[in-house]
Amino acid sequence: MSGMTAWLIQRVSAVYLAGFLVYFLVTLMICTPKSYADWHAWITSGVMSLAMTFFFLALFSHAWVGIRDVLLDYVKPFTLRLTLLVILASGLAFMALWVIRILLAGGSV
Amino acid sequence: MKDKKPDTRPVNLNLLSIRQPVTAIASIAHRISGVLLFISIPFVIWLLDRSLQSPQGYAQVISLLDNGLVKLFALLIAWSVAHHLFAGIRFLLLDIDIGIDLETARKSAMIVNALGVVGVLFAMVIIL
Repeated sequence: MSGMTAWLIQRVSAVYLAGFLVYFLVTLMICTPKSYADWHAWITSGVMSLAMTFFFLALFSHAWVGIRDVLLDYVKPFTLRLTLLVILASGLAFMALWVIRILLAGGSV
Repeated sequence: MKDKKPDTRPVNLNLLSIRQPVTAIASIAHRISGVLLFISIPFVIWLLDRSLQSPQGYAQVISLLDNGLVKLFALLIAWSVAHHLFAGIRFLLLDIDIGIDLETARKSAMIVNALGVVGVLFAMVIIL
């Protein structure tokens, strides 16, 4: 990923993450789910499932660019740097699959 | 240069001995909070997974907050979210040349650093 693409991904995902986070926290506070049924209905609703899918897509892209930048700044030896980047990518891929399973189990994606 | 005078310029590599500008503190804290948030992702996904699986799982997630250590971590995450969000917005504005002059940048950095603490206080009111 070139510098310019990474820079852009970081900012576009940041805007979505900020918007979603504010919506999520405010909703959680003003109409707090009172039970499992409330919570489950909210999170697995069609619109929310879609919003959550975009949230995690943005989150994983944002985390990839951010942690990649941190690794490139502080880890200089090539082999170690490459190993850590591979671990990072694998970890993010694993978490993405996990999230997909959760959202599919919700039944509305 | 032929005659090499001994280099007497001050060298100070111990960052802790330098009083950092407020903008530098906002910046490094943005990075630290980002790493903390990254580390918290698998735990948050686990909480989401558990909370949606069954009413028992939901109850388990809610009762986790009774634990003092969990509360402490929750406050750390609250600081990370608040600081990362507000410092992030500040950086986005700086990107489009808003608040770019030194005095405004210093002020906004101070505000952002304070908002991180406000986030913790806010979380304290809710979970303690």
